[in-house]
Amino acid sequence: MNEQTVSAWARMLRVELPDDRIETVTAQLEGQIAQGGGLPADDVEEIEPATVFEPEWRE
Amino acid sequence: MTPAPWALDMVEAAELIRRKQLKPSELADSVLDRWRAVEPLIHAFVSVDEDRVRRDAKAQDGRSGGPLHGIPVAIKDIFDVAGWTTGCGSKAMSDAPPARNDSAAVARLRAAGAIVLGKTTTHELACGVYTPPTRNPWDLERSAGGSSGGTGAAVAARIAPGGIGSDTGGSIRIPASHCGLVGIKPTYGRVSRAGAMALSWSLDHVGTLTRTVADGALMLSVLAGPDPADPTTLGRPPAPRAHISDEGLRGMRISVLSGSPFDRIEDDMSAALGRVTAHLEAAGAEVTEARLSELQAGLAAEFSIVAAEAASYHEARIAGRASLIGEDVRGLLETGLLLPAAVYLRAQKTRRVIQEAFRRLFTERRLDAVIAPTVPAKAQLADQLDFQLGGQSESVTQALVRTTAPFNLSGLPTVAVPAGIGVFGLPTSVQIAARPFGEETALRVALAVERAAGPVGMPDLQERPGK
Repeated sequence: MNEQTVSAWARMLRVELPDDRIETVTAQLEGQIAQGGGLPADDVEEIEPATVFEPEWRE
Repeated sequence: MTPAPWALDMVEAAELIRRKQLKPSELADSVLDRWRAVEPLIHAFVSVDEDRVRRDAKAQDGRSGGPLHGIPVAIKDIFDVAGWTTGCGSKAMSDAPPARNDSAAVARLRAAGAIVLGKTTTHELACGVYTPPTRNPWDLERSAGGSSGGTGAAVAARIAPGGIGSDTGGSIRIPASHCGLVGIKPTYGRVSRAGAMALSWSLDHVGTLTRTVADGALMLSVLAGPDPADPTTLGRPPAPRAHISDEGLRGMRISVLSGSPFDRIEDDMSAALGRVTAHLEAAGAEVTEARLSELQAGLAAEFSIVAAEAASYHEARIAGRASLIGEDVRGLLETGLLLPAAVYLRAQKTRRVIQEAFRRLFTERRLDAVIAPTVPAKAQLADQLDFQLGGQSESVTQALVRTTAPFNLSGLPTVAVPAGIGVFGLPTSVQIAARPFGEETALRVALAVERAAGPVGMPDLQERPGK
């Protein structure tokens, strides 16, 4: 992950990202991706994501 | 001596109005006097329409009405109120046209007889834990918390007896803890979100800030219920009752959550939790300790979900008006637009794991409730960026959200309740979570905590230099 990658990525996704924002967003995005969204992939391999969240439990 | 009407709690005021011992117009005049006196110190409101408040209250004089007949309420400025701009604490929203209709929550409050006192400040786009320029009535150098900090400050300062907020990662419970209030984040799907600005569709909860558990229960009973405009509210169990059972806790089974993310907390918060635990046992509850290792991944999941969903919600706004959004929120939104879908979905998988961990804990131990510190620390100074906790420096935002987010991710009903005043003269708090749609159980435990801890009293609206 570097600023050139983020800049190119933003262009591809048509996200308007001014040059003076690239450094900040690169650092934040790097941090978010490093966190991986939570648990390691191996630990959630069989889990269906909660894309439609339902608070009631399946007993 | 009879207290001034502005000092009355919600249930007290409603009862006096029902008995015709207090007119809604008298209460409104008194509350407006209080607002004028106190608002310059705490900056809790973005708008108050005095004439409209007086007119609405006068129209209710001498009549009978719903359970909130004549009660003024504070509305976080992310909820639509017909005829008012919904500013969401952001310059990017400042020229939005006035809302055509009331949000579902405001409509329900009005239908129950409540009077909209005004709109309260929010951290920008409901995404933060400071809510500038609002200050904490317990110490004017400190933050009231966020993002529902305006409602929190207004209720703590006795401007309004109660109000509504939203909680995506602690935004009701953090101000509740900082301001010595009862904050209810109901079960996901309990209260309609229609007509409220979203931050994160799958994590947003609408709830209440009040000074007592009884007041919170009354407001929740009015707010809860199905709304076709928010499908998550359909087909749910009956709304919780307005009056919470005072049967004590004998036979109840409660676990105190320990370990990460509830470790590294200030001594005040730790001592408060210890006192509360002793009270619960003395009241007849069977109290055990529990650790859920899955919760360690909660903060990363929370931030990934919020970043992706908030960026999607505000995508058009970022494209055209990003420069009007404050640095902290803008960075999160821009990052969210670029976050890989795989990271978002991993976060939603993590959420499922956390939900299942809570289900297993409640089921295997036959628990009624779990209890934990609401936040790790007392209210931060308005410009404070980090806490020192357990010998480590931790950002204020991360620290406050790590203990509250597990209950947004799980969707469990959670009540933050004051647990006494700490050694610095500031409120402490614990949060109680119950099974899905078990608000009455959480409130019953909260009532026992409230009785045992005693009232936190009224803040003196002073600075506490050096504390």
